[in-house]
Amino acid sequence: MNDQLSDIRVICHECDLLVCIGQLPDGHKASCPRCGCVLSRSVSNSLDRMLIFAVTALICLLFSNLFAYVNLLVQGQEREISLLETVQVLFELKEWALSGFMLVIIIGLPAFFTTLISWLAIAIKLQRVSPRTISMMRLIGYLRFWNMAEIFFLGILISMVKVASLAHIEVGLSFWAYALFNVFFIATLLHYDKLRLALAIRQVVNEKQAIARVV
Amino acid sequence: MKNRRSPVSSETSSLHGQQLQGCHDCCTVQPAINVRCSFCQRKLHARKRYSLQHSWVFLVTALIFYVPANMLPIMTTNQIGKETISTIAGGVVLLWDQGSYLIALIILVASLVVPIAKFIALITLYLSKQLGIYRDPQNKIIIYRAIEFVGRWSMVDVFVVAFLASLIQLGNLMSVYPGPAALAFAGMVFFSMLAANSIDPKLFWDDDE
Repeated sequence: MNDQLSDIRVICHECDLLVCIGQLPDGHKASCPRCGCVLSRSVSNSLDRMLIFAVTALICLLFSNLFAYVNLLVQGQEREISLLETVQVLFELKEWALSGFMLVIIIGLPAFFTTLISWLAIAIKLQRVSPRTISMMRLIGYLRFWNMAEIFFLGILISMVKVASLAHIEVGLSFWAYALFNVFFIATLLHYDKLRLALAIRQVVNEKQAIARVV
Repeated sequence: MKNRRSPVSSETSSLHGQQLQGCHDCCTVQPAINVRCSFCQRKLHARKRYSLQHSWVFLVTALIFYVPANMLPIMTTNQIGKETISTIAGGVVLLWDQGSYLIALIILVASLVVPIAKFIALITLYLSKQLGIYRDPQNKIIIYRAIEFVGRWSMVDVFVVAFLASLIQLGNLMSVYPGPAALAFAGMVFFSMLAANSIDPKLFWDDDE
């Protein structure tokens, strides 16, 4: 985003203080002087970076569904599962709620979330936004709260250490793809700056309205 | 209860005598009398409505879920005909005995220490607001942020059980099945996340002025 935050007035969403943000050099962040909550971070090309990270995360997620995830070897018996098979096995065990939960948390929500963020970034880049685009940001905010992909990844690491004493375990290509997905996903989240995105949308909308008035 | 929908605090968010409020979605500054945001048309609320009441309800629900989560088995392991049923606390003890201290510690913190600390912290926040006894907002906001940050990580135990159950299905040789406590625990984390999310941190600053 090229727009500089210059004399933007915002109300801190955690303590309701009216804050005036001046010029922010790259790499700096604006915090609320009273409660310290971060209002905005200035990163050069943050919109482009967010878009790239989101698309890369989506591609990694796609790849993590294509190959074997983990290989298990116990006394000559081998078992290989993919990411979607974890959901399928739980479903076959008649753990409907648990399998549905896993499907949403490990694949559904991250895929939907990264798609939405890429869409939002492209819409802003192409200047095809309206005040209704803001509702997309609201949805992103809700989904962000429920995102638990990295916690699932920690869970996998713990279960592999647990199993390692009982069986031989090998990680597949999908495991690395999912690890990469987590890295890019977190990078996307770090570049998601509500204030800057909202400002970019407002700027485009205001310009459009100004043109409409002249015409 | 004291938490009526309070007006925008006069000291902090006013400019030239006009009272203001912020839109949560598009970050615009709006006059306090606006019902809807002038830019994105979203309904504006100076404070989350009934925030403490909602939060209490979610917390009590989480507490109710926490009981079966600890009493019922979370995982059943079937190894060469021998069936082992383990609860959360039992699993931690078992792991400790086997020598996996780090894992035992992670599970202990994520599924026992953190939820209980979270319940105590949330109740402290509610009571301090409702009784007006402890008014330092700086400390309360630190507690609030810690609760918000840490809440999701409790889910790790559910993921471990679900993943082990789907991975280890080798018939009689070795099989793992999830127990009813896994769902109860997931419900507990879900509702305690909602409880933390319902709190409006702006309330802490209201009595500071």
